[in-house]
Amino acid sequence: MNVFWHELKAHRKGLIWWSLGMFLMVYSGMAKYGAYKASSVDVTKVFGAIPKVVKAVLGMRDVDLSTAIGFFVILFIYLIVMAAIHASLLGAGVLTEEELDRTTEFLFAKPISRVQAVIAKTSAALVAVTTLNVVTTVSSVVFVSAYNKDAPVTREVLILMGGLYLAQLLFLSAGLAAAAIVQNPKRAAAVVSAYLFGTYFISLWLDITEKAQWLKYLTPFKYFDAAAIVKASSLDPVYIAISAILTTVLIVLTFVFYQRRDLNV
Amino acid sequence: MKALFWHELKQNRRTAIIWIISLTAVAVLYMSIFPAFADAADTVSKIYSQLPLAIRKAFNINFDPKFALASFYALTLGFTTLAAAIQAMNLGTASLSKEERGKTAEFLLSKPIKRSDIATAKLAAAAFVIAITNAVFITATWLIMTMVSKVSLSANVFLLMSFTLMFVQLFFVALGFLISATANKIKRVLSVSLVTVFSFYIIGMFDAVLGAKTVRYLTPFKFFDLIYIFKHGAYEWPYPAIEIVFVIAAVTAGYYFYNRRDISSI
Repeated sequence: MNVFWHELKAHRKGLIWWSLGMFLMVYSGMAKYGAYKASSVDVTKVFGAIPKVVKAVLGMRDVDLSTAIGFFVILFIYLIVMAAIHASLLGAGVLTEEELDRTTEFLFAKPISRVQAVIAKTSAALVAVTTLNVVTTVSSVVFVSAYNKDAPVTREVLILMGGLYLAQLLFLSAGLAAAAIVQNPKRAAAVVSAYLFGTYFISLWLDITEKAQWLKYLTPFKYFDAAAIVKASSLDPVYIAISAILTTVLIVLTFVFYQRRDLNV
Repeated sequence: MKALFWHELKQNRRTAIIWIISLTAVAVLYMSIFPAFADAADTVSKIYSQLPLAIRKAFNINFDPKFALASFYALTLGFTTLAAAIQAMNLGTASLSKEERGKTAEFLLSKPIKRSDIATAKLAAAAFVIAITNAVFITATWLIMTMVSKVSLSANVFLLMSFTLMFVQLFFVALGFLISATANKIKRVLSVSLVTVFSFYIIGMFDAVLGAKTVRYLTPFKFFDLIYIFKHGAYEWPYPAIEIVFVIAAVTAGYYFYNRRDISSI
């Protein structure tokens, strides 16, 4: 329990900054929507005429950009990338920091097993990730409905935030697994960042080309593709299943490998 | 000092290579889409000009078939600059602080070398990595550009546009160096740099709230308007001056504080 509280305290400051960042991101994004909404042109027709390649390059999606929720779909990709960065670095961080700070011996001289340490650290990270999600959810619901002039879309926003949370859990477990498996503690963050940006890039690539669509099963950013989620008004159960399985596997790997890990002291 | 410089480079080598390869690969991959984009540019520009200014601003693009290549390159530079800023901030922030975190500060400072020389060697190593990164990046993007497009940008405009990446990087190296020289214990370099870089990036997105003019003075991501550079073949006054003043001030302050700081030991 002490380890848990210690971790929470150690990551408090970072969490405050991240929360502030997410809040500002939602705020500035929706303020932009407010700015262009003020000009009265039928943007839907115009956007419809833009070819797919160009849309993909500009980060536009197949959504009605004249609505608040349509605009939020575009904002969502930034939110999910930021939340994923936070979660994966946090995951890699909590398990490697003892080795990086040369405090491994101190920690494991205490009457605490490795499993207990991993549980405490993982729970603390889980609390941080959940907090960030709550902050983002509240900001999104507030700002989207503040600018929304059409039918209420709170339900869609909440579903998107559910997707965001699943993505956060997936990247958190990826970070933890990287920290447990990669032998050099300095490399763990780099490995999980490579996974993150690699998969992000695959998803960008898939937006642009028609080729190799099966790749979408490999990138979490496609599991939680905002445009598709809003269109269907629900998360795709296939992707929920894939991300749940992946997350579980990565957590199991974390425990197995951390038990056997030759800790650098 | 020379030994430290080389040691530093050797330590940074692997990370630097990974950064250079990924930055360049992203830019090249992105530029390789250009032909498909150019085909559509004709239709798009007609449609696009009907869009209200606010939307065009929201998507941060300003294109016209005449400008297709330039605006596409501007787009590519837009997000590679974000990544490059993180690389630069990492370099600056890690430079002095990693000795304290790795508990090697005592070892280093017990050598017959002045603190200011340590700072110089580390700054020089960071600058060297930045220079190599830009050299590779610029060469690769120029090559891919001549491959994907029949028309090409004039060398002058291309270089002026490309160098903005380096200017943003220098801003963050200087800022990172200052933080590294003053902050007492930096636990995780990557967290510090991500938070800092993203904060500046988000400030740039705040033009709808703060006003587009104000924002341009506040964040290096908005110092350089790539389309302006393309149109005029020059940088826009006074932003380069702000950049230079900031870099000099941050580096000087960094030296000042590092020379006087109580370095935490084991």
